[in-house]
Amino acid sequence: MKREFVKTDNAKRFRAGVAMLEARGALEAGWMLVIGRPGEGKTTTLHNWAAEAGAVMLTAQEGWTPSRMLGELAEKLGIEPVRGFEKKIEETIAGEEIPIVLDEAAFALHNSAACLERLRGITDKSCTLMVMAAMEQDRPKFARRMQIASRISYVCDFHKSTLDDVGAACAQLGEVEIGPDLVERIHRDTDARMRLVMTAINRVEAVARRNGKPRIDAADVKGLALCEDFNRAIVRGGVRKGA
Amino acid sequence: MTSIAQPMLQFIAAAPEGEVTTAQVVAELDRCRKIIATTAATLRRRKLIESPARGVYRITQAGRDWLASGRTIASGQGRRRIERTNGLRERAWWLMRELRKFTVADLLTTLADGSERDAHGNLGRYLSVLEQAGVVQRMRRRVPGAAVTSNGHILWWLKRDLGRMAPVWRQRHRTVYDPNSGDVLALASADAAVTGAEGGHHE
Repeated sequence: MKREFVKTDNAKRFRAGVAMLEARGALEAGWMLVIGRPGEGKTTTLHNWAAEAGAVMLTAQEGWTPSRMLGELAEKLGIEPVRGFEKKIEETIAGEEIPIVLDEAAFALHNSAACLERLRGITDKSCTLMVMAAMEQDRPKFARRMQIASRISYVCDFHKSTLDDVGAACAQLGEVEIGPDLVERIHRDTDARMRLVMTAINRVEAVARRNGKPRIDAADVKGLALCEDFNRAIVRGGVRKGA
Repeated sequence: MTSIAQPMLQFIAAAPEGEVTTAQVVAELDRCRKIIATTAATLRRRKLIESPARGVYRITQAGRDWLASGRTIASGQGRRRIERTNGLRERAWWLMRELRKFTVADLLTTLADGSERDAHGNLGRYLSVLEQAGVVQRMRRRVPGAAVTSNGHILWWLKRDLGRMAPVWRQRHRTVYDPNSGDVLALASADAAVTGAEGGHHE
């Protein structure tokens, strides 16, 4: 399997959102919320963009506090956590216009969203972009905080990947030709989660290679589990039905 | 720099107490709010104006000095803005700092877009010299590859986080330059560095 980033519809929509925010009118309203199911490619898409933009990326955790967050921010920026380092962080972010990316942002809502309020203080002054990633069920929690919600100018929904997306991933990453019926099965069995799609491509390719075939169809992998979807395994009581 | 930057600065300077609102600038210069906000951001970045409250602009001493000197605002006068990290190695360094433990495949899955020439070899060579410089270390465990004959992917660990800027391999001097500290890192065994790093491209 080729190792490349697949530009799905979600990734394209995310880039369009970033472009829109960069051209925004109200400078303090430069926040974006990325929402989607686990395994949909949110973090990979954020990494892809953030590495290019030279952003600073934080991952919120259970029990996160503003001081811990600032400590992590300082470490990422290469600032010594000595007296007055908070000011230095603000100056560096403003001076170099460094976007901030916050993964698992729902954890930053604890304690009256103290961490997000601290970040708001930084981005309001620096007028830099901030991108937060969270799960679908966390959306109302952000909406309840008016100070935060008013700064979110764009919500990027990471939808379930389409059949075309999965087809494009198979065509781009596959080193053997994958038949349309098998693409459909990959789409169905993986529930269109990109993380699982990659596993499935890897598996069908291994079968094709073992059998010396340049093209593989659904009939060639009949009865073979293409991926282990933990969610389905639990729902079905751990029994996977054959394709 | 937009062409209205100079008139906008002059207008703010001429206002009583050097303070105006967005609406006043819009009315005076006959431009939309968006353009005014963008221009204000540029002037603020140069510290020629400040914004004491939302939608309020005030000229700074630096702004008055600027006008007094008779200089005109034009593009290219300020210092260079954000240093974008565009090269594959720069982007890979960013991701290495983020992941800490990674394979070349992990880096490529996130960063490569298929347009790079020999992205795998490029990162393999880069990691090899970083290993020689003591920045990364390969783990004993390998991540299994898909090919039947694969030896697996090397699992790398970022041992020393040098900072935001990516270390640079200087082939001519056979050293690694750290732009964060300005240090030059010598390779542990200079001869072993450049030749093939990954031990084949099997997955």
